[in-house]
Amino acid sequence: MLASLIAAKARTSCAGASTRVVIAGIRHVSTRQNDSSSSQTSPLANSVTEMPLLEAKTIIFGNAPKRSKKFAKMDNLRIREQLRRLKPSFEATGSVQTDLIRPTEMLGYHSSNLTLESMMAAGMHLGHSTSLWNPMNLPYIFGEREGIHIINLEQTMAALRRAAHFARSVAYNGGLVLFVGSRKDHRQMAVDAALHSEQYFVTGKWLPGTLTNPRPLLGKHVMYVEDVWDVEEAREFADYKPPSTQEATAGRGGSNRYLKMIEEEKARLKKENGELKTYKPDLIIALNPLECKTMLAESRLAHVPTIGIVDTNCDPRTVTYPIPCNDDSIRAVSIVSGVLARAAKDGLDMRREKLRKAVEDHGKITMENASSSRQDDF
Amino acid sequence: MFRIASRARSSVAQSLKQRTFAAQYHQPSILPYNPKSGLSPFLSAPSLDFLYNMRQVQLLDNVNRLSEGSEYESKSLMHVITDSALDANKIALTNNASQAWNMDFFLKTLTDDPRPLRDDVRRNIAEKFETFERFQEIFMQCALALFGNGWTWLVANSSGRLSVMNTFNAGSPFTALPSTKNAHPKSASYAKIHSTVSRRPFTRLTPIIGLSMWQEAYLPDYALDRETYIKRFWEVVNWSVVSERLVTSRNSSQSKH
Repeated sequence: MLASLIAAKARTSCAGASTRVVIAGIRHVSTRQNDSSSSQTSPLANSVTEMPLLEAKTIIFGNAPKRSKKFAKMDNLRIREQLRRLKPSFEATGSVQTDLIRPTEMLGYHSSNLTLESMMAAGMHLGHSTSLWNPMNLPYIFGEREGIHIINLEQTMAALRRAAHFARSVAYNGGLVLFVGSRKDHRQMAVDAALHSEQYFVTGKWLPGTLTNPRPLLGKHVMYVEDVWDVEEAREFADYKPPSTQEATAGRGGSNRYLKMIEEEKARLKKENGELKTYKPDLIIALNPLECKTMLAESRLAHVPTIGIVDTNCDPRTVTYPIPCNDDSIRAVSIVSGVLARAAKDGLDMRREKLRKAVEDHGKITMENASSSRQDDF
Repeated sequence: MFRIASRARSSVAQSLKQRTFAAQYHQPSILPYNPKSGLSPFLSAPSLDFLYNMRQVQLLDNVNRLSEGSEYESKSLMHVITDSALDANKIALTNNASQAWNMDFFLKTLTDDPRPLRDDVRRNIAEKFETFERFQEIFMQCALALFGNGWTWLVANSSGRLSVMNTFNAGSPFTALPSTKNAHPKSASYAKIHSTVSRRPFTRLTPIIGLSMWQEAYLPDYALDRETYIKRFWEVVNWSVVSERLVTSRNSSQSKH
C-alpha cells in the first residue's frame, strides 16, 4: 500500500516538472494518486492515516456552496461586496506607515530665518541681460554689473515675506493653495511644496479654461477608478446599461437609434454633472509666470490672487504679489517655494489649533466671535 | 547640428515622472497581544519575540531600503507586493514585502486569549469541506507536503469558493496564481503575464487563514515535529477575526440577515 502510494507519487511528480499549478478537487485526490489500488472508495470513507500524500503544488478546493439560480446573481454581488470590504483591512495589514519627511534644502528656510547671505548664495540676485529688462521692474533693481541687472535682495526679502504672510493667511482661513510649476525642473518642487503643506499642485501644461470654463474640462475627471484591480467588477455591475438593439432601433430605420443614443448620453451627463463640483483655488503660486500667461490672465478674470517669481524681464503686474528673484536658478526657486510651502503649512496648523480650541471651548463661541476671527490675529 | 539632434531626441514622448505621493516609512504594526510573552502552547516567548522584534523589523527595514526613492515609496505593503511582482528587477522588494505581509497576517490571526471554535466558522467551513475536522486534516496534509519554507493558506476566490493552498518561500496569495482570463487553462504560467495586456495579471484570492511553515517559526520550539506545530496552531487561532474574513452566502445556513 505504502509502496504503491510512493510509486504513484513518483510517477506524477516526474510527469509534471514545470511551474504549472495542479488543481485537484476533494473527490478526485484519492483516485488520481492511487490508481493502482482498487480497494479505495470515496475519500470520505478513509481515516486520517490512509489519506494519500499530497504534492505541495496541489490546491484543494472546497465544495461549491449550493445556491439556487434565482439568487445566484445577487449572491455573486453580495460575495464580491464582502470580499471588497476586506480589502482595506488587507491594505492596512503588514505594516504601519508614517510620513517620512526628508530634510531638504527646500524646506530648510522659513520666512523668519532666511538671510540675505543665503539668498545671495542661491543666486537670487542675478537678473537677466540689461537689454531684455522690463522697466516696470525698476524699483526692484539694485544696479547693473557685467551686462546683467542685479536684483535688490532687500526688496526680494520684503516681497517674499509679504507673499508668505498672504499664503499663511489664506491657509489659515481655509483656502486652497495651488502650486504651479510648468518647467521640468520646477515640477518636483511644486509637488513637494504641495505635499508638505497639504495643498494642491499643477505640473505640466495648464489646460486653458480651467478657471473660466471648468465644466467641459474637468467633467471627465469626476469618474475615476480607485483601484485598477476593481476595473472588471466595476464594469460588470455598473448601473448604466446600453439599450438593447430592439428598443434602440424601434421606429423608422436606424435614425431613432442615433437619437436614442444622444438622449441616453445627455441624461447620463446631466446626472453626472449635477453632482460635479469644481473648486477655484484661493491662491495660485506660479514658479515661472513668464511661461504661464494664459493661467495668470484666467486668474485675473476669475478673481484669484497670485504670487509669482518675477525676473527682470518679466512684467510684475501679471501677478498680485510679485517676488523679484532669479527664475533660472533651481536653488533660488526651491528656496522661494519652500518658504511659501512652510508658510502655508503654518497657516493650516494654526487653523487646526484654532478649531481644536473652538471645540474645547464649545459653549463660548458666539456669532460675534466667529465673525471677528476672520481677521488675521497672528 | 545640435538642433537636429535635440529634435530627434524629443520626438519620443516622455511621460511625466514625478513623485506625487509623500514618502512613507514602514514599521511593524501593533499586535493585540504582547509578542514578548509568547503564545502558549503554540510559540514560546523567545521564538515569538524573534519573529516579531527581529525578523519582521529586518524585513520592513529591507522594504524601506529597497523602495526608497522609487515609486514604491508611498505604497502600502499590499500594493508594493502586487505592483512589484510584475517587475523582474524588483524580486528582492517583492520577497521582503510579501514575507512581511504574510508574517503580519499570520500573527494577527493568533490571540493570547483563545476561545473555543465559533459555531458560525465551524458551519461555514463544514459546508465547503464536509466537516471541520476534514478541513483540518486537509490543511495539515497540505502543510506537511511543503518541502522547504513556505506558507499554507485557506483562501477564497472571487465567487466565494474556499480552497487550501501552499505558497513557496515568500509567496503571497495575491500573486500566487496568474489570471486565466486571456490564457488557455492548460498553459497558465508566469511567462505569459508580461505578454498579455491585462489589467488583472493575477487571480484575485482573499486569504482567510495563513500558517507559516518557515523553519524559523517552528524549528526553535518543535525541531522536526511539524505535526504538533500545526495541531497547536488551531488552539491559538482568533476565531472572531477568521469569521470576519469568511464570507457568507445568502443560502447558507448561518446568513446573518
